[in-house]
Amino acid sequence: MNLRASYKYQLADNKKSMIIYMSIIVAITLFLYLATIFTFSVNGVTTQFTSMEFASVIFLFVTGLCSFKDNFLMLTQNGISRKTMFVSSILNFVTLSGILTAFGAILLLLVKLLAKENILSTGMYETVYSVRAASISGFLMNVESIILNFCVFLMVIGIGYLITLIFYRLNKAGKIAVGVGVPVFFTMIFPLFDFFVTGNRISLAIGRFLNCASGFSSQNPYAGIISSICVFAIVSGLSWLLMRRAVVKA
Amino acid sequence: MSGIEVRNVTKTYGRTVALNDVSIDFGENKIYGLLGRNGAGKTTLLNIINNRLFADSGRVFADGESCIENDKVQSKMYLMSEKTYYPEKMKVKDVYKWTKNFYPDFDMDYANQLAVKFSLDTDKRVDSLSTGYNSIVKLIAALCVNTPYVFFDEPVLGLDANYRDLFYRLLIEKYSINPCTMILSTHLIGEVSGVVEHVVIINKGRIIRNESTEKLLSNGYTITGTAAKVDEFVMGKNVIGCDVLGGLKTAYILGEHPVMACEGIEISKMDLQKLFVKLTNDQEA
Repeated sequence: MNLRASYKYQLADNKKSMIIYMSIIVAITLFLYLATIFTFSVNGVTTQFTSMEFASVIFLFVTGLCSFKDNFLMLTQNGISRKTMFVSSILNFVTLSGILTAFGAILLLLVKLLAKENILSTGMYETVYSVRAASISGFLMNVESIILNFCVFLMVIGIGYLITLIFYRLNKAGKIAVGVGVPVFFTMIFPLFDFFVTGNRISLAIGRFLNCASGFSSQNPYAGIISSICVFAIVSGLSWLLMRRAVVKA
Repeated sequence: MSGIEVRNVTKTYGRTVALNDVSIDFGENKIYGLLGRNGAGKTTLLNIINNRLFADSGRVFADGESCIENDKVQSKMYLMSEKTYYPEKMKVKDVYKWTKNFYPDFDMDYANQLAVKFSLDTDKRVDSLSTGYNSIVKLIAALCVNTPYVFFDEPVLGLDANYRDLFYRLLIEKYSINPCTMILSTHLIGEVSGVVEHVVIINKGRIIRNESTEKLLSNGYTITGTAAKVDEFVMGKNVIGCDVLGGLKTAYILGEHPVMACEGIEISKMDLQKLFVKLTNDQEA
């Protein structure tokens, strides 16, 4: 009962922003589609829709960032335990990722169906795994694309949630230290250290690792799928460790 | 066991001891007054019972089950907090809609009736309300949830005299129709003294009094008279404090009421607020 109520509340909390986001994406797609059709006859403009799902990646990351504090206070006010809250948040993330995966797939399909010679459309999957996409059937490509998108969406919303939880648990000094320290480390200290001390060996190793984890060079989307699931599992585990002792701050 | 049991709960914030080995029981279907000065530990105690804070040590049970991370137990409790934890942009009517989602026994009709009585516009957003109306939103929710345990933390914060009076009347009306355990945490003792059946006084994180209002007040009395007469009368008695105004002296004494009054001495009932002030000042001294 509590899980259902908590899940229902969190889903309703995201409903409005989700509808606005999807409306904007549809409006932009429609505008570009119509603009391309009308301008083609005049000056031969070609429009390419590439990796439209990336907008959903950003939207879900921001949703993850906004998913903790207000919900935690509201649900605590209404007698929901942290465990139930966490489980319902995960279920909510799965639902949001599922909805946006379906939305992206349908939109891409519609653009492809209505495509003229001057409108090209490729999804995130086709952009990253172009060699594999060209070598397999359309059905398999769509299935893999849907699974990959879903897992990537789940991963980014989980990362957003973990970041907001870290900031909630930190005290004021900790928030400043992390808020300033992390960007400074990655934009200044790490590049300088890597360049002058290791001769870029660290960044090259990270690049190789990411390449391998995403399956980009081997054109293996399943590597990307498994990596996304693993990252989601790790960030969810860390989120739970932070959440289980979270308290309502005075 | 029915009711709420708090056992050896200690909570510290840095060097500040908010609760120091507190043990207390809240029985079924009683109205408690949890009284204490600012920073005495009232809110911390309520937050620990309601799973919002974790105690450093000790345990809390409701109807024999642990309150910590227990949805079943927490669904029997409702804490009206001093702070507002509803999303700022949420409309009042949505606050009640969602409260019903979490507490199925929430009485929506009664909530609407109370909103009319308090002249509360339920179409307004929570962040647009004054401090008083914010308290009213939460009071109405607490009066309508119909859970066995309802906690009120500073319930009349920002309310004018008329609405405070209305709240106390509604509280008693609600209790008479649907008895439950109500715990009122406040430092406005004078106002709740006529409402609470049982008084718990907390000071500097320790429970210093825990008895029925009647018994607590019967344990003491007030005498007024000239300073000389009062000083003579109080010799050998447990005087918890004195006030002097001009030539008149008032002494607050713990102990049984004297059967016979002396000439020039007026004996009256102990006032709860006076007793509270004297007890907590005494602790400070």
